[in-house]
Amino acid sequence: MSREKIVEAVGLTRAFPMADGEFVALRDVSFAIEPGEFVSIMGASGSGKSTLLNLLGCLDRPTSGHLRLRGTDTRELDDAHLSRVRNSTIGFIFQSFNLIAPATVLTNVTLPLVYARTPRKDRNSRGMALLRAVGLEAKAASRPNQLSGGQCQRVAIARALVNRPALLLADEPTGNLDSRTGMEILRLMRAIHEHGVTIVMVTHDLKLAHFTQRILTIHDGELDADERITPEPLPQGEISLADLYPIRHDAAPGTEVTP
Amino acid sequence: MTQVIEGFIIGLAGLTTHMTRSLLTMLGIIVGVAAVIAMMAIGSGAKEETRRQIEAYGATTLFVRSVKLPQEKLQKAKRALSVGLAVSDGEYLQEIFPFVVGVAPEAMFDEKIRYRGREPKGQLVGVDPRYFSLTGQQTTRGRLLLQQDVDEFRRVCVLGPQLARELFVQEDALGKSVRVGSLRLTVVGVTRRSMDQHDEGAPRPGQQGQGNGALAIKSREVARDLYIPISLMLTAFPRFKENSDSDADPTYHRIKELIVKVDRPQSVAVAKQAITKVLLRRHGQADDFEVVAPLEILEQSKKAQEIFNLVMALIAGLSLVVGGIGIMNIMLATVTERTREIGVRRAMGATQMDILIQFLMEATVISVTGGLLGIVMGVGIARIVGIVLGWRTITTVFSIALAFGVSVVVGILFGLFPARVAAQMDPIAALRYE
Repeated sequence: MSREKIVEAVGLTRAFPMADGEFVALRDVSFAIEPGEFVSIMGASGSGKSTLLNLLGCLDRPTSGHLRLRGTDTRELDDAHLSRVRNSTIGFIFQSFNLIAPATVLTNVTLPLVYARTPRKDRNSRGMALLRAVGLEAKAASRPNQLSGGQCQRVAIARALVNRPALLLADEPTGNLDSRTGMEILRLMRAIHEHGVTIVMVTHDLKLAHFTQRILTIHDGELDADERITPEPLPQGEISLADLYPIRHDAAPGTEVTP
Repeated sequence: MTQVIEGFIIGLAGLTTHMTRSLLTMLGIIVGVAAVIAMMAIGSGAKEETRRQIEAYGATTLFVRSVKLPQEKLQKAKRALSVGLAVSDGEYLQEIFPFVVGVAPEAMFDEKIRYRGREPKGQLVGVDPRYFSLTGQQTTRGRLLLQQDVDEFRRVCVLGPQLARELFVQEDALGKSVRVGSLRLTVVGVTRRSMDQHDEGAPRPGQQGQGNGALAIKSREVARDLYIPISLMLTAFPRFKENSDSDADPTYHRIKELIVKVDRPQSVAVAKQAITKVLLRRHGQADDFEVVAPLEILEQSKKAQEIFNLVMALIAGLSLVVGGIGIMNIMLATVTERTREIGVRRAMGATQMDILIQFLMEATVISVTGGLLGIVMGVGIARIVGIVLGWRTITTVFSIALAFGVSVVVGILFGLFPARVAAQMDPIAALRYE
């Protein structure tokens, strides 16, 4: 029995109306992603990779074509339903972290749980568990501006994982970090992947893409190549993954899974 | 519900983050709500005062008061053989008008009232038994004045409760003698606290008083009255010195006023006209009296009150609108400032409704906080007005609830547009916003 695909894109096209006709940012893109894959989307600036990521993240709708997330055709969903899908199925990591500045680290991490209508008590315990997992438990009460770039991105990762998403979308997650910190973040993502979370990472850096299992290359809005590779081993680092919290979307809340 | 609570918590956090900004934003609401509260407190106070006064006088009472005449007019009046307001005027009115069911004259004289060196403030009032029956006064000790007291010029008196207390302190006043000018009067009774059951200083017709803007028929304190038979008064102190400081003849009027009771409230207006006409004729067209109908004054004061309320409501309404616009303005700025946050929240699963509610709650938190401050300020203003102007003010739970409700509505109403702007933002554009 074949497993249900996490992502199934069929003829995805996204065009933007312009003063003189329209601009097609993405043209007839089709691919599928199986659960547990670690995929990178490569492409030059303006190639359409971010447009694709926005479509995958249900932040945007295709002009034509279908996008199925875990079997659900997102074209049929209204705004509220799309929001629910984003909340329950997708975790976002951004290049510029996008943490809410006046809120504490813990409040930032638990933000998706607010919209999942999780009771406050459960939210806090789960948020703390995630912060523990990314090694920032002690910073729970800090504000984002008191953290380093790497710490901010770890908080963002904790936030992305807090509602146990099936799919983690990362948009240039190391773009604002130095190479050493970037590597730490990548190691963390690898560990998350090993816990069964499907990851799609947008990058323009081929070196980073080689740490993933599959590279989708977008060129001028079209899918240029789709190659499966053997991921390169990551350089050894300090980060310990043994205490990583159960982040798999299929893990029952509250159960610890030892990798 | 969770959304609302979350929105409230986020709103509260926003409020404390930008304290000064929030306070300035609230100013309009504070002023508006304070105006509503103060207006209603003053309004209710006036209404209550009016009710009390109606109860005190009854709706069928009129007062014919002596009026101080300027020199020229006084001479003219005398040439017309007018003798000012007199007991006989009352008797005449009762005789000719079937709707007049009772008349009681009141004469007054300023004379010191003394007992064993004590000289408290008091007022010498000459009356007959009709006065007590018309005003409904009763005694706690002793008796009221009788017709025989009047007929026989008896040197007796009845004290108001406050005067009795200040003259006699712990002693029993009954049977004691007080000195008024050259007279020695025996106390035969002490009246009840006041005729309309409220504190000393019960309003009684007399001079123009300082009311709530509600009433122009306030008065001396009846609790400080010393009542003596009017016959004695008019012989011992033959003239009531109404024109004392301006006229060669300071003793033009004989009595201070006449209390006239008519058969029913509907007769008051007609009675006023008729009495005026008849007395003018009796006084040789001299304008030396005025007929005051409490009911009519109450009606007028009600109108004045309505105008006052309208002006206050206008001020309150304007302040609330200005406050609302302030909130809208600041919320629009907040929404722009937090565009990226909105994008993040949308990406994390917030629906348009979640964002709408969040910003609506923030606006509401500002306006409600402003409303609460306004309530405190309004109650304060009402108190101060009460103390400084001596007006009666009543802050009701209803007015507080209304002010609170109004501030919630203003927050929601003026927060709606910015909240909609926030909710309808394109999440992708919001996430890219620099």
